[in-house]
Amino acid sequence: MSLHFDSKECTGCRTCEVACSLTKSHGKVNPRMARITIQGSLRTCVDRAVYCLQCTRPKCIEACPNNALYVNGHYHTIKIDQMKCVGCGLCTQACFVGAVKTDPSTGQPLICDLCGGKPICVEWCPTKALTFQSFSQTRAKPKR
Amino acid sequence: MSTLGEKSDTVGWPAEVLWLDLSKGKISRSFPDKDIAENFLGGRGFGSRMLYDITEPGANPLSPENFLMFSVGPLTGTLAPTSSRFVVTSKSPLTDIFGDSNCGGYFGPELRFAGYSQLIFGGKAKKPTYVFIDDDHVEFRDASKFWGMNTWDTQESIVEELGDPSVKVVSIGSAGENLVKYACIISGLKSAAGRCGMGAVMGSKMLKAIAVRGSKSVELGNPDIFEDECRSLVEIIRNGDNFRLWSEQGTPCLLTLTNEWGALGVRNYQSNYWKYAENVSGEKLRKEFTVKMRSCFNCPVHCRNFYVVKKGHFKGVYGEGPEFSLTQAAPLLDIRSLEPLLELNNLLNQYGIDCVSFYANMMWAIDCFQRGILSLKDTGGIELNWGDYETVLRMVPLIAHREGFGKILAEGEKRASKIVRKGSEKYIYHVKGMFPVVEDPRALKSFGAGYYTSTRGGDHLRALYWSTPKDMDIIFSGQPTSDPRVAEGKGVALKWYEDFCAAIDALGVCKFPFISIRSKPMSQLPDILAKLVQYATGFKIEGERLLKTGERIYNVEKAYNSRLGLGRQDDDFSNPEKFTKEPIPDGPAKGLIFERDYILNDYYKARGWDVKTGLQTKSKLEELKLGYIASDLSAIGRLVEE
Repeated sequence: MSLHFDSKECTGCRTCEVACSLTKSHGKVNPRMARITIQGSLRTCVDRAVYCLQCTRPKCIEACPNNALYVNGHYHTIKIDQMKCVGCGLCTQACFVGAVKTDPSTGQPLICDLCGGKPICVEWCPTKALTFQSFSQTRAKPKR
Repeated sequence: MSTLGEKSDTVGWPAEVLWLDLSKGKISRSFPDKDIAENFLGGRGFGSRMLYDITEPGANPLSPENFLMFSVGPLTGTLAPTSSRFVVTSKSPLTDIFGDSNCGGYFGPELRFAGYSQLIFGGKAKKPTYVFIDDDHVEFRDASKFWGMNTWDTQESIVEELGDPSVKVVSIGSAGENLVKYACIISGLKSAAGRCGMGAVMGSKMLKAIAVRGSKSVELGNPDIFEDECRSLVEIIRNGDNFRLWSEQGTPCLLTLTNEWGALGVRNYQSNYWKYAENVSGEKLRKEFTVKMRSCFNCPVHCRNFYVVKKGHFKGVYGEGPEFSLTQAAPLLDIRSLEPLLELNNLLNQYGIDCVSFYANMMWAIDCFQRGILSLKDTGGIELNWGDYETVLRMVPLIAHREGFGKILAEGEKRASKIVRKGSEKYIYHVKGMFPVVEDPRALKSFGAGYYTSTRGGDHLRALYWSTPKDMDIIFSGQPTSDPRVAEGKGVALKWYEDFCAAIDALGVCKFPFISIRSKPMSQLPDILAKLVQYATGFKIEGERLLKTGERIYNVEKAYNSRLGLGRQDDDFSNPEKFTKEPIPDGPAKGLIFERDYILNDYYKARGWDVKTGLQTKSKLEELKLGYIASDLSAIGRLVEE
C-alpha cells in the first residue's frame, strides 16, 4: 500500500501539509515539518506532491553512516532509530525526490510513515487528490 | 491608549507585532496589549484598533505620517478551514477615511508561521525598497530593479533573488507606484487586497513588496478537540447547498442569479435586466475556459478558476481568478463576451488596480462621453463606447501610468468627477468616495443597505447580507429579514451581519463558507467559530462574545470616521436620489426604490447610535469598553451623550 497523488485533482490548498504537521508534531501546525510538501509555481496550475515513495532500495538508508534508518513492517516505510541518528543530514541529501526534511530542533529526518496505515493527509484532502492504495490499484487506475 | 504589551498567557496567540520604520530603516518588536488581544482578537480587529490609536486624524493618506498594517488572525495558518486571510489596514487615499482590505492566498499563513500577528509600516523609504522577513531576521532590501515591474514579474524576480520558491510575496504594480488612488496589493496571480487603495499607500512609502518565509510552529491550545471541531466544520461547509456551485464555478456563479433578481446595473445603472448574462455566466466560464479549480491556503471550497483561452483573438491568455467582482464589468460596461474580461482580469492584476473602482470610473467616463459631457478633447482623442472592450483594455495602462485621460480616472470615484465637473457628478455612484458592486440596492435591499453604512466606503463585503435563511427571522422577532426586497427588518439584521463579518475578518478566515455556503443554521455559526478560537488559543469565548467583538471593531471604525467629521449625511450615495427616488425602470425588480431613511433609522436604533445625527452614543461606547474613544469624540463634539 502506498500514497497516490493525482495532480489533476489537487487544488494546491496544502491542507495535507497542515494536517500532517498537526498530527506529527504534537499539536503544532508547521508545514515545514510536514512529511508531505505541495510544490507549485506562480504561473501554472500544476502542483506536485513530494513525499516518501518507499523505494525498494532506499537511498536514505544506504547513505546513513550509523544504520539509524531501516525499513519497517507491513507498509515498508522508513523508520528512524532516534538513539542512533546523529542528525548528519546525509539522508536528506541522498533522497532523490527530496522527501526527507529535517527537524531544525533535533536535526533528525522527517519521513512519511503512512500514519501506520491510516494517512491523515488522505483523510483531510478535500478533493481526494491523495489516496491510499495498493500498488496494483494504482496501476489499474484507468486513464482519463 | 496603550499599544505595547506583555506576552499573553493564551497559547500561540497573539504573536509578535513588527514595527518597521521605512524612513529610518529601523525595526522594533512588541506584543499586542492584553486588552487589545482579548477585545479585538486579531486581523481586522488589530488593524482597526491600531489605526485609530496611532494615526493622526488629519494625516494625509499618502504621506509618511500614515501607517500601513498587515494583520493576521488567531485562526490564520491553522487547520481551521479557509484559514488563509490577512487584512491590510490604513487610512485610504481613495476615500480619505478609514480603509482596509482583506486578502486570501498564501501570504497570511506564511506571516503567521514567521511568528507575527501584525506588521506596521510607517515613514517613507528614500528609494524603492522591499522587506524580507525570514522568521526573526528582517531586512530592508533594494527594490530599484523591480520598480516598474508588474506584480507577477516582481513576485517571480524576488523569489529568484532570494533563491527559495517557498517564499511568499505581496507586491504592487505600476498603479501603486504611480499612486493611482485605487491601486491594490497582489499576491500570487490574483489574490488581492483590492479595495481602498492600499497599493497606493504602499507606493507612497516606496515599498514595492514584502517577502516572507516562516518556519516556526503555530501552537494550539487544545489540538485534539480543535482537530475534531475543524473536521465537523469542514462537513458543515461541504454539505452546504451552494457548495457544489461555488467549488465548480467560484463567485462568477452569482452573475446569472443577480440578473434573475433584476439587480444588475446595466450601463451605469441605466437598465436593470441584461439579456446577455448567459454569455458571461459562471457555467460558461467553467465549461469553456476553466482548466482547473484552485484554492487558497487550507480551503475545501476551491473557488478560484485557473483559465486558459484556447482560441480566437485572445488565444493563449491564461490566469487565475475572475471573481464576480470582475465579471460584473460585463453588465456595467455592456461587454458581451468572457474572453476580453479574462484578459482584463490579468491586466488589472498585473498593474495592481482594484477592478471594482476601475469599473466605477470607466462606466462613469463612458456614460459622460455618451451624454456629451466628456468630449474627444477631454479624453485625449479616445472614443468611449458601451461594450468597446478594446478601449477598456487600452485604458488600464493609461490609468496605471497616469497618462492622458488616465490621469483623471486615476483620481478615483470622488475626485475624477470633481475635476471634470459639467454635471458629470450626477453619473458617478459612490458612498463616502468608493463604488460598491454591481448589485442594485433597490432590488436587493438587504445587500444594498450595507453599502450605505459600510465603514470603509461603499462596499458589499462589510455585511455580505444577501438574503438570510428563514430561521434567522426568529432571532429578529419575526421580522422578514429573509426577504431581500422589502425594507422591513433590514436595519436590524444588517447590524448582525456587520458584526459577524467583522468578527470573521478578525479571526483570519474567509466569509464565503460561513455565510454563503454553510449547511447549519446561520444563527449557530458564531458559536461554532467561537469554539474554534477557544480550542486554538485557549482563550475563553462564546458566540455572543464573538459578535460583541465584531460590534466593538465596527464601532472603532465608525469612531475613526466620526472623528473626521462624518455623520448620517455621509451614509449615502454621492447621488442620493438615484436609488431613493428613481424606481427601477425594467426587469424583475421593476418599480422598486430603496427606502433609505426607513432602513437607516432601524439600523441606527439597532446599533444604539443617535438616529438623527448617526453619531455614536456614550452609553454604547462604554458598554463596548471603548470609554477612551467616547472621551475623544466628546472632546470634539462628535458624541451624543446619552
